[in-house]
Amino acid sequence: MSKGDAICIRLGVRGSSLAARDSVREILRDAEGDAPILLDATGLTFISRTAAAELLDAVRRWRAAGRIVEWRYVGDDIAQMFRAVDPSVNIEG
Amino acid sequence: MDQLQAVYVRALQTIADAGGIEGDELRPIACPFDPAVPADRLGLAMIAAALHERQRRGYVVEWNAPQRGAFSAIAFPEGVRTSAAIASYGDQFPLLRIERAHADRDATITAYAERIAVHVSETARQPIAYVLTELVANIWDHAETETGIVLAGVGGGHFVLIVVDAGISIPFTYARRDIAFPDDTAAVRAALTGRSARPQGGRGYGIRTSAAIATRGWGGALLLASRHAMVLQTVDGETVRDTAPLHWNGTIVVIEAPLPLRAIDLYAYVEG
Repeated sequence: MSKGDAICIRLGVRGSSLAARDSVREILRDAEGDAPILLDATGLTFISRTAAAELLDAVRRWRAAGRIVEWRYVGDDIAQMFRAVDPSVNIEG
Repeated sequence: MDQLQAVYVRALQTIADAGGIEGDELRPIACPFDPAVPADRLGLAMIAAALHERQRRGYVVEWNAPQRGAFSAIAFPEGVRTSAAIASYGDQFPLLRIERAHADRDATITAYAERIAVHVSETARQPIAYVLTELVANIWDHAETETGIVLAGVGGGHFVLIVVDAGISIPFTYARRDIAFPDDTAAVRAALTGRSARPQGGRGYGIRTSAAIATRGWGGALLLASRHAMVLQTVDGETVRDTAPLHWNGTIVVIEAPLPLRAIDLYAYVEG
């Protein structure tokens, strides 16, 4: 995915933790449209189950709609919570 | 655990004796609780929430206590609202007032969880952060209020973590979505089992998982109270109490556990 045509969403934009559903919805506000999405977890060290579920729901909707979604710099703790919420989640690449 | 129940009921009565949250005959709320006693911090958190709710509704905030020094040492009743303010309280766990509109609220909650972990158990950092963030997230998701109160405490070999809101109650949240229960206790027990008030799947785990961590994980208890119902869950079972005519319009969650907190694998409890 080239940087130029993707929407980059910085999951750590509000700090090192992401806890509530409305926090996730606010961060994803700029993801409207059809462009590919790059989810950048730089600096994110904690995500609650609630926030992880909200984020993964969004990823499922985007992929079901045919959008390309990729991840970047997902730390081990974050990845572990994602997999606890959805063992089938693909966060590679 | 009996002490938690007793404090809960005493706080309800204390607020009721002062005229409740709103009305023409409000009086200053007495504070018969001792900040040095962990279970008493439940009473303080409830009174702080009641005072903030009075203020939100335009009433004067008045309270009285034998000695105010011990209360100001934990930022009662105003509460702290930022990570920096938390850090300024030395070894104390100050009363935390979190607001939906505050841009750094997630970071503030995480900072409070971090403080707990540092003083209570470094190995419990992840589960402490999990339960605190999930319980607070429920306020934003369900309680339709702008403010939550958080207060932790240690003493007498026990740790307590208290999350209070004065928004809409669990029974009322279900009723608004046409989910009927025979009484408030049944509604609160449903919340404990993970039944979400929202129609979407994949919800309702916050309280259930927090209860599992508190009881099976840490060997303690979780108290969940809303409107007329109070349920105290331990690894041995449940204690149920209908507090009518006393009631709390909102939701209160208390976790109490013996120290040292057992090291647990958080992901053994997190549900998919």
